Amino acid sequence: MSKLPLILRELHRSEIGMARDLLALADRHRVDHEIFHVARDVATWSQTHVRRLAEAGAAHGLRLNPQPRWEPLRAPVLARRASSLLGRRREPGLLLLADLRRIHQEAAGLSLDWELLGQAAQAMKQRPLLELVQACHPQVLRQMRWANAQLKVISPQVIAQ
Amino acid sequence: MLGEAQRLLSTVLQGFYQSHQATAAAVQVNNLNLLRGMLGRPGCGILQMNGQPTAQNTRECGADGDLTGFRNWNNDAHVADLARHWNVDPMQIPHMAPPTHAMQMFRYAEQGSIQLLWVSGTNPAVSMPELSRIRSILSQERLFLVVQDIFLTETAQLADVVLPAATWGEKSGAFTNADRTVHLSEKAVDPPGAARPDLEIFLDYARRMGFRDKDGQPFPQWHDAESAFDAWAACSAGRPCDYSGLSHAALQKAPSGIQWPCNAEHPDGTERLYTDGRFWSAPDDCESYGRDLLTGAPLEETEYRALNPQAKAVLKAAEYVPAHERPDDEHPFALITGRTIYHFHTRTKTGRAPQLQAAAPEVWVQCAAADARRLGIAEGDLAEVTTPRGAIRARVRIGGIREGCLFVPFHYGYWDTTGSGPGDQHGRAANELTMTDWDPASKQPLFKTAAARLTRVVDDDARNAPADASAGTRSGDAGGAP
Repeated sequence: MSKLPLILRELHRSEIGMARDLLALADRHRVDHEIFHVARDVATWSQTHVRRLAEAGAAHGLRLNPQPRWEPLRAPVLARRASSLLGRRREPGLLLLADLRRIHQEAAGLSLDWELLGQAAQAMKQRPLLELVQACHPQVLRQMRWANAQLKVISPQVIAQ
Repeated sequence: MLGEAQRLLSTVLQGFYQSHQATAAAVQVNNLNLLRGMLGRPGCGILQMNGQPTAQNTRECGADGDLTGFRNWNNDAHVADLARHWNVDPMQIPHMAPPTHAMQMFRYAEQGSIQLLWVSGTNPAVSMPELSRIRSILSQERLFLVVQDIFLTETAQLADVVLPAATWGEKSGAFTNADRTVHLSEKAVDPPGAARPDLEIFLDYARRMGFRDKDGQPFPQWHDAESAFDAWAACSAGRPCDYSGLSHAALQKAPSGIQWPCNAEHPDGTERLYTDGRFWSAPDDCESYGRDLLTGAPLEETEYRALNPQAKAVLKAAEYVPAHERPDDEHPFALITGRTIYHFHTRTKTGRAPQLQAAAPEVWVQCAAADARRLGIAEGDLAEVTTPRGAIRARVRIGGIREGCLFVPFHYGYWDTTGSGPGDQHGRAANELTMTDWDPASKQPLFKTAAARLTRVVDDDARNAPADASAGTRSGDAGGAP
């Protein structure tokens, strides 16, 4: 029996995590406006990936939630308020570096999982799955490059001062 | 129309650059001209224009924070070449990341990691989005604010030190138009009082700070407008904006100006670019490896090389994403800010020209006839425009705009009313309303996307909105958008 359902389930779980973490990143760094807006923009990619994975899962006998709860487990209102209150302080800079590092790691892991699915889809001649990979994998790589680029831009000011 | 056009000249300005997904939209205009081959011949071209000529040549020479002569910060050879021209160590030229843009500088000032801000010839206390935030950043005790301008602007009123500057006609220098024409602008009169040319102020600062080049000589090496121009011309050699054949003397003999590139190969300048269909896109030449138009992440050299763009244009695109603030029940209008023909920027100069000031003396808000009817608002009524950031009061002009949209000109600040800000009065600057958001690729603030509410304010002084007609906006025209 193929391990496809296993990979689909894992990708579904990780994409939910990615969407939640991007939304949490936005909430924690609301006063870093570019982080806030772009994180929310690219979180919609992960949300779409989750929905499409759920649809693909149905064809492989899986019941995956297409619309899970996106709110992070912590209270987002609190994070938002903390972000605004701490907006004048320097410590959130380090926190932002740590958060972006985590997003990059998550995206790197996700990228590998999509690669596994792509390889399997080709070997098993599963055209719909291959198209799914071709639509989603590039966006995961763009999320990863974004986190990397933001780290590059922000880190000198945070670390040197 | 575009598909069958024989000739196509496209112009783009802030309506694109300051809208949602701005860079992606502006790039689509390039794509259209490229795909139709509408470039490099008479009647064809693209003018992605700047708001004013000085914004063109500040981009070329690096005064906007980019590297001089359209050099690529991510290309070590370009940085080394620039360092050779300036006779400094390449490490002296920050190039670990893209240049820090103004919006990010304000964020650093807000966080306290920038403690000295020097504002020259602009007025962020009126021109930047979300003014209550900008004022609170600029008013911080821990921020040392230097403002250099020709008049006491709103920003200058918040400054710790004001340096009076000379204006055009009181100093010599060069301007470059959007069509690459370089003009010499010569001094006609002495500046008033203690005012000095910007260059003189900056050089004085550099000398007092003791800036030195690699050989211990004073840096920068130039000492006046002409020697600065010569150094710039030498530094631009071999780059797209090649000024190496230009000098103050050459420009004095050409009253209509000279178009770059102007060098040994093109001693009289160049009227037309891209006649051979070749572009400055080769990886070793290009100004930038480009960015992801949606996330703004810069491409790395290897990614750019993989596109194999040797002298070919690169067609870029981005998928649509919804705007970050959209009209809803509470704020049902889409608010757009912009300009009127009578004023420039924040009225620092035009508000002091009596004829221009009389033609458009007060801020107004423009809305469609159907919207006004529904809200019980008549031409000339006082109204309050509210967004999640703040509110302003303005007279209403009806017509000349699409239903569901509001327009407020951004020129009007407080230097001729309450000072640096509205104080305890009602605000009138459009940027009290705008949101802090910018295009991730160009880093230009977005002034064309905000959700707003319009409410009539009862007062006894209803009268016609005083602003005179301007391009495309006729007062009292109830016929809707033209």
